[in-house]
Amino acid sequence: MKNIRNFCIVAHIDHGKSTLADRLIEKTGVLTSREMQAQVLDNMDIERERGITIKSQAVRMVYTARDGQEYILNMIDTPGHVDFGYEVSRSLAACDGAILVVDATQGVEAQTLANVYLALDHDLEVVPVINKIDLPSAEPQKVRDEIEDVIGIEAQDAPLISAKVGTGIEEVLEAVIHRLPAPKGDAARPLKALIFDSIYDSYKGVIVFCRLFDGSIRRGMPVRFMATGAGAEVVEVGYFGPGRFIPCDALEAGEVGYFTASIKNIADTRVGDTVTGTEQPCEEALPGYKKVMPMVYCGIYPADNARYGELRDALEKLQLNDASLFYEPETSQALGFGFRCGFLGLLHLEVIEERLQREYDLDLVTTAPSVVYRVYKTDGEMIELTNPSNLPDPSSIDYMEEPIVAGEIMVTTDYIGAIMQLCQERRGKYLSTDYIEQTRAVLKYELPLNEIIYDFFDALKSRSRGYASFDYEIKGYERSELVKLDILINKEQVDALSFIVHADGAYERGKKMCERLKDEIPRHLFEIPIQASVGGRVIARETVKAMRKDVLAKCYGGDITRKKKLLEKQKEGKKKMRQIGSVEIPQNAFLNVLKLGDED
Amino acid sequence: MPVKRMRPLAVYVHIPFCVKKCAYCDFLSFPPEALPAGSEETKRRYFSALLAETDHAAQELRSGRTAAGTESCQPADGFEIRSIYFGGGTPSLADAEEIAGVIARLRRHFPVAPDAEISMECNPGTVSVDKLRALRETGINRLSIGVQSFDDTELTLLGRIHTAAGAERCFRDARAAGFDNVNLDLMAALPGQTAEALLCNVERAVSLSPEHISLYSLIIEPGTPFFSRYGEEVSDPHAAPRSERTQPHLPDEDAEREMVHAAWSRLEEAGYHRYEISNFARGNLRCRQNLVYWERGEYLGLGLGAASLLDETRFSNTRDLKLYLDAFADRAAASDANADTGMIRENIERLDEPARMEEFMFLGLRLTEGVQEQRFADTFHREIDSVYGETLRKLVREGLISRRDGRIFLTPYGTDIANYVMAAFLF
Repeated sequence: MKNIRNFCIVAHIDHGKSTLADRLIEKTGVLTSREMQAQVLDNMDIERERGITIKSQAVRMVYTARDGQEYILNMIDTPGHVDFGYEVSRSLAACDGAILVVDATQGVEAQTLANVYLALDHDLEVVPVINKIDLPSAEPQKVRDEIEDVIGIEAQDAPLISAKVGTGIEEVLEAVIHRLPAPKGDAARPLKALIFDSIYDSYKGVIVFCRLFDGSIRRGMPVRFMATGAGAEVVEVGYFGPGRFIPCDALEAGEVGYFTASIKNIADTRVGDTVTGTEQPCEEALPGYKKVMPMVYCGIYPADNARYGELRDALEKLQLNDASLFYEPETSQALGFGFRCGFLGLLHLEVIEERLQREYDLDLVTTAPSVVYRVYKTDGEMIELTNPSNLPDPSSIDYMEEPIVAGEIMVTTDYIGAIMQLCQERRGKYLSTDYIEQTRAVLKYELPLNEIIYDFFDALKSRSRGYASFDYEIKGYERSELVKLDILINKEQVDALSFIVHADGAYERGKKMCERLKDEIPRHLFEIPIQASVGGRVIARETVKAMRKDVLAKCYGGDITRKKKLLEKQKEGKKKMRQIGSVEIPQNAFLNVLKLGDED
Repeated sequence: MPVKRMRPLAVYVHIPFCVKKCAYCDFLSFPPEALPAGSEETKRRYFSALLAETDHAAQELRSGRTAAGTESCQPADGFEIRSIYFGGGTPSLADAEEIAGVIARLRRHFPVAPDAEISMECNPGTVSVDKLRALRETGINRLSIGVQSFDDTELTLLGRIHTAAGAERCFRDARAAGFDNVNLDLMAALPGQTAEALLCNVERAVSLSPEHISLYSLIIEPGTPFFSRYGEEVSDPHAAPRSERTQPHLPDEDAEREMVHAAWSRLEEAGYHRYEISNFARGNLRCRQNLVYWERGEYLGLGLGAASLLDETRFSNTRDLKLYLDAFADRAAASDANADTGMIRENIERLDEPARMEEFMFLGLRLTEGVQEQRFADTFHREIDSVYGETLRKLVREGLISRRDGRIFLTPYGTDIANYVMAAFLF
C-alpha cells in the first residue's frame, strides 16, 4: 500500500489539466505516443469540443521512480464545471492528494481557488505545478508568490512545466510520489468502498468505479450499497487501463478500480454511496453521501411529434449513464407531448440536449430553463414548481421562494464597476470585495439562480472582455416577489413561453421577449400581435407585420434548376417551424427569446 | 401527304464576356482582366468552340439521343427553331461576323421558322449605329438594351459603363439600324432609390416607346461587391448601419413593393401589359424565348453554363471556361470524335412526372394569365384538383391565387409573394 498514490488534478478551466493528464499517462509508458488520442481522458465528443471534462474517470499508471521502485498511481479525473460540484466532491473524497495546475500566464483564478479549497476541505495534500512556462508571457515567479499569498500553500519548489511541449513531467511524477501521502486503510477489516462514478454497459450492466478504504472486494462476493440498500454479487473486478478495463482477481484497501455485478439500474449505484460486504458489513457508511437534486428544469419536445417515442427511448438510455438526469412526461398545448427534464445546471442541460441531437439524431424544441420555485399556498401546502405553466392561481398563493446562490467573481480591477453593475441588474446582493493583489479582486455576491441560468456567463465575459471568472454554489431558498409572465402570440397564450420572473423586472423582461419574438417570427400573410402579460394584464406589445414581398424577379437564361432549389429551401425552412394556432414559430425561438441580448 | 408537325425549339447562346463586372452582377461573365490568355484570343477560341458545340448538339439530337445522353422518346429530327437568344455577359461585344457565324451554323442544322424571334442583349456602352446595323443584318430582329436606370448617379453606383444619355442614344441608333422590336431593362429597389426616382426612370423609358420593358428588382447576390456592401442589411434588416459609411440604404420590403407597384401602374397606363412577373409588352410583342421557359417548351443552351430542357431532361453546360474551351475550341467540326458534349454537361436531371407537375405550376404561375387547367389535364392525364386540390383551395382561401374561366393565376398579393405560393406546389 505504501507504493500506491491516489490523486486528482485540480485547475481552473483551460489551465491545462487534461493535457497534463495525457502527459502523465504517456510518461508512465502505459501507452505509446502513437496510441494516444489527443486527450485520452476526455473521450466523449462533446467534451473534446468544449474542452471540459464532464464525467469523471480514472486511470491507473505504473511508474518506476528515480528511487528504482515501482509505484501504482491512480489518477482520478474530476468534472471541471460547477454543475457537477457534488460529483467533484466525491471524486476528491476518493483521493489522498491533488495536483494543482496553475497557468503561468493567468495565475490564480476563481475556480482555482474554489477547487483548491474543495481539495483542502477533503483533507487532501496539494502539490502545485505551474504550467505553460513555454509561453512568452509566462511569469512563473509571480504565480508562485501568488499561490503562496492567495492560497497559502508552499509553492517555491513547485515544478515548472509545459504539459503542451512535455517539459517537467517527470518532476510532477516525483512530486506525486514524495509529497503526496500513501493511502491508509486495513485490508483485514470489512469492505468499505466509496462509489465515485458509474457507467452503464449494455453487456455487463452498471460498472461501478470505487475507491477501497478498508477490506477487499473479489469475484463472487455479495455486496450491498448502503444508502440505496440494493444488493448484488460481484461478477468482475479490475483496474482502469487508459481507455480500457483490465480485470484482476481482487482489489484491496487503498486501491482504486471497478467492479460489475449484473446491476441493471444505475440509480442503485449512486455516486457517494458506500459499498460493503453483505456477509461482513462495515459498521457505518463513509460520510458525505447525498442524493443530488436537479436544479434546472426545462421542457424538451420532439420537433416532429411522431418521434415522441424515440425521444423517450433516448432519454431512457441517457439516464442509464446519468443518474442525475431526471425526466417525466408532460404535455404542452403549444408543443404537444414531451418531457419535463431536470438537470444539475445549464451546462448539463446543454450536454444532454446536444447528445440527444447528435447521438439520437433528434430535432428538439427546448423551452426556457426554469429553476425550482417553492410556492407556499394559503392553505398551507407547499409546491415545488418545475414548470411555470403549473403555477397555481395567484389568489391561492401566500408567497413564493426562489433558490439563491453564493457567487464569487474574480475580476481585474478595471472591470469591477461593470461587473458590479451586471450583478445589480441581476438582483445580486453585494457581500464583499477582497483584493488578491493590486489589480485583481474577488467580488462576493448572492444571486438568484434564475438570474444566472440563461446567459450570465456570456454577459460576464462580454462585460469583462473575458477577464472575469465565476464560481457559485447553491446557498438556499429565499422569499421573493415573483410573478408569471405569459406570452400571447396572435392573441393565443403560448404555455411553452411562460416563465417566472421577479415582479420588478417583469415589464423590462416582457418588452425584451416581445422584441425578440418579433425578430424570430417570420412575416406571415397576416399581421401578428405579440403580447406579454402578467396576471391577464398586457404589459408589452410588438407586431410582426404582414409579409409584403417574397418574389424573385429574374430567372436567368432558363436556369430553372437554381430557382427550384430556392423554392425547395423555402419549403424546408417551413418544416423547421412549429405551428401555434395559425402562426408558425421557428423551433429555436423558444430558447432564443430568453437571451437578453447583452451588449456585444 | 400530311403536313409534318415540327417540334419547336428555342436556342440560348451564352456570351460570357463583358467590359467590366457591374457591382450587382453574379452572372457568368469575364471582364478582360479575368482572361489570362488575352480577351481577343479567348473570344476567338470561344466562338470556335460554340460552332463545334452546335455541330455536336445537333448531331446528338438527330441521332435520337439528347445531349444529356438519354434516349429520346420522340423522333429527334423535325426540330424547328422558333427563337434564338444571345445572352451574357455582353453579347454586343461580339463582332457581327461572329454572331452571324453562329446563326448560320444553327441554320445549317435546323430549319428556322420564317418569323423566328432572334434576340440579343446589348450594353449601351458597347455599340455604335454601324455596329447595330451590322448586327441587324445578321438576322437579329429583337434587341434587349440593358439601360437599368436613367439616372447617372444610380448608373455609377451600379458600376455600369454607360450614361443615361448614352442609353437614349443607343435606343435611337437601334431604331435607325432597323430594330423594330426593342426591350429596355430597368432595375428597381436600388440603394437610396425612392418611388419618385423609379417613376422618373419609367417615364424616360416610356417616352422612348419601346415594344417591351423588363423591370427587375435588385437582388443582392453573394460574391458581388454589392453583397459586401449590403449583404448585412439584407440578412438582418435591423442591423445598425455601419456608422463610418454614409452609403444609401436599400429600400425595405414595404418601400420596394410600393415603388414597384407604382411603376407597374404607370406602365399599364402607358399601354404596357405585364404578362409576366417582371415583363411588360405592348400588344402582342411578348418575348417568345422567355415564354418558352415559363411554358416548359424545349430549349437548347449553347455556350458556357447554358441551361437546356430537352426530352424532359434538364442539364447545363460546365461553368469552367477552360474545360469548355478545351472540349471544343479549334476542333475540326463534327468529324472530330474527340469532342464530346458529355464532357461538359452537368446537373443532368431527368424530370419524373411529379417534378414536371411542380415545374408546370411554379413556372406557369409566373405568367399573368397563369396556368390552364385543361392544359394540365392534357399534359398529365389527370385533373389538376386530383393532384393539387388541397393546395389550390388553401391558396384561394388565403387570397393568393384566383381560379376563373379554367385558369389559375396569381392575385396581386400572390404576385408580391410569388415564392411563397410557388413553394406550396412542391411535393
